Amino acid sequence: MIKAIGALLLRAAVVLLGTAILTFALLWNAPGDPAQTIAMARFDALLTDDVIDQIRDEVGLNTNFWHAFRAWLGPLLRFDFGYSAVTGRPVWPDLWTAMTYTFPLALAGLASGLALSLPLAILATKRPGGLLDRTSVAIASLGAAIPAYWLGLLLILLLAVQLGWLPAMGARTPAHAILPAVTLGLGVAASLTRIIRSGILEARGQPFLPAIRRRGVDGRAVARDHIAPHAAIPVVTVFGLELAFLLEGAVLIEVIFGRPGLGTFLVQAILSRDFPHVQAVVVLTALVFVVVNLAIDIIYRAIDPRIGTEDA
Amino acid sequence: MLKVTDLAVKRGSRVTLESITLSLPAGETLAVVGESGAGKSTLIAAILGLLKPAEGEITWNGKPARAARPALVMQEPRAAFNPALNLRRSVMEPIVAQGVALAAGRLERLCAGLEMPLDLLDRRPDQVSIGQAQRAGILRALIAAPPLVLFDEPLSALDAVTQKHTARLISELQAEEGFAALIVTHDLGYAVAHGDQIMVLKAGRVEETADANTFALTPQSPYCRTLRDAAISLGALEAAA
Ligand SMILES: Nc1ncnc2c1ncn2[C@@H]1O[C@H](COP(=O)(O)OP(=O)(O)OP(=O)(O)O)[C@@H](O)[C@H]1O
Ligand SMILES: [Mg+2]
Repeated sequence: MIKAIGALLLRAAVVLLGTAILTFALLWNAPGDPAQTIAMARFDALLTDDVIDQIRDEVGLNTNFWHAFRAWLGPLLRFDFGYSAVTGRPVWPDLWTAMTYTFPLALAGLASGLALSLPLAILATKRPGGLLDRTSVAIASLGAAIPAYWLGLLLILLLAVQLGWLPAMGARTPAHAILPAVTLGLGVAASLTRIIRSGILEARGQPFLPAIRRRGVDGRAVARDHIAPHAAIPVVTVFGLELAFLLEGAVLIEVIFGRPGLGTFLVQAILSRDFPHVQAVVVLTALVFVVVNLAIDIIYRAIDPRIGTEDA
Repeated sequence: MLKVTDLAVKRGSRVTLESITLSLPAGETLAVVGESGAGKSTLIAAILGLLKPAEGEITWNGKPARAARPALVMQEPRAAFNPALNLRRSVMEPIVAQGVALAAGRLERLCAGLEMPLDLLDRRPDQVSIGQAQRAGILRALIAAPPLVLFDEPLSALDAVTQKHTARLISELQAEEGFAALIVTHDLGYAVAHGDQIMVLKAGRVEETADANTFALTPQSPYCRTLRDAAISLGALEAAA
């Protein structure tokens, strides 16, 4: 197990390095002259070539690729994201503030999605093919087809504008988080319901189950020892994919609900070509992905010890 | 006593068992033989209650058969276990579920009889041989002293010597504990040696039911005579004196 975790960590490190090179290559080759943009953003006017060259030097745009890459990576490894190319303020405090809005939102979305889908899937599988089952599959398919921004606008219209039950815009109180979290959660629930449902159905079809049930092993023990772990594996897999959806969804949803957070942070950074800000978000996202996938791999091995035993 | 009366079972629209009648008293063994696809496993599934009879009924001492909590040794040894759990967990499951105490030394004795080292139980099904998994299946079936055991080709993956020892353990245990055993086998020699009765299935129907000696000496139907002669020529059965 220790060896397996070591191998997983090594793999994660390689993925991170690859992501770093790729990110930097993209920034390096981005069309348009970033120095111009920075100048525009800072001084609100087109400036002389001298000033632009100065800016170019300042943000390290004048050297060759690998040299610039090393110079770029060093501080990142120390979690030093540098200064905003636009405002000149350090990146980290602003990034941290954005994270404190986005991560709780994403987690609340995940939690509400799970809280919705788990009971729904269990109810649906009580009688596979029954009315309840078909209804929940239909709702889930519909939910998966609806884009988050449209659902978000719909919920704002209904619950905030028409009924006035919940605040829609901004992030002043915890109540402001409810609508965005539910919007995210509904999207998560749509895909999770189907995954959990088919996971349970497949787990129930395992050939050894009937015989042990006849020997007095009751439904509760069967669910706990044989169905839940089996059904959990695809769910854990989907969690990894869901994370992409959540971050992407959170970005859209923050814009719709006028919430500060990584979404707003990233959109502003891209629009103003603020390299350090964009970099910081990309690196952070990559880090989150790698860490979550590492956790998923470890959870897999805890659920099913067969996983990963062949590739030693 | 297991009683099956006039049983018919359908799979989809096809009738796979028809007019099956048998009775198996406690402490006795019924050997079921018949060609592949004859319906042997289907009969077991019906007794377990996994397939609903289209006609007829199955009872244990007058009650529905599931009252016996029948134990099953599955035909496919690896499919018989949860692949994620070690064999010990799976084998002990009936004991834990029924809340009965495991008699001291029982596990050791059964393992010895099955020629399974105890530490084999700490492995998962994919880490043992098929024959070892098959014996673990027998172990799980017998561990909690069930009144009725259904064996679906329990020795199919074992070598001749292990077959002999395993068969002996089953008989010994049966003599002590008095369970009823229904044993599906392709081995006519085993059927005659260990069965009190032999039932031959062919295409979902009972071709013949007889006590073991009668069957070996004077099978009634032409099919059973062919079957017996084939077994003799293979050396699985001794020619009648
Ligand atoms: N799941 C199934 N659905 C439909 N038909 C089936 C199914 N399983 C088996 N059958 C059919 O039922 C008949 C009896 O099958 P069964 O498995 O009982 O045979 P068997 O006597 O146990 O054969 P074997 O010695 O090969 O194990 C066969 O014709 C088979 O094709
Ligand atoms: Mg069979």
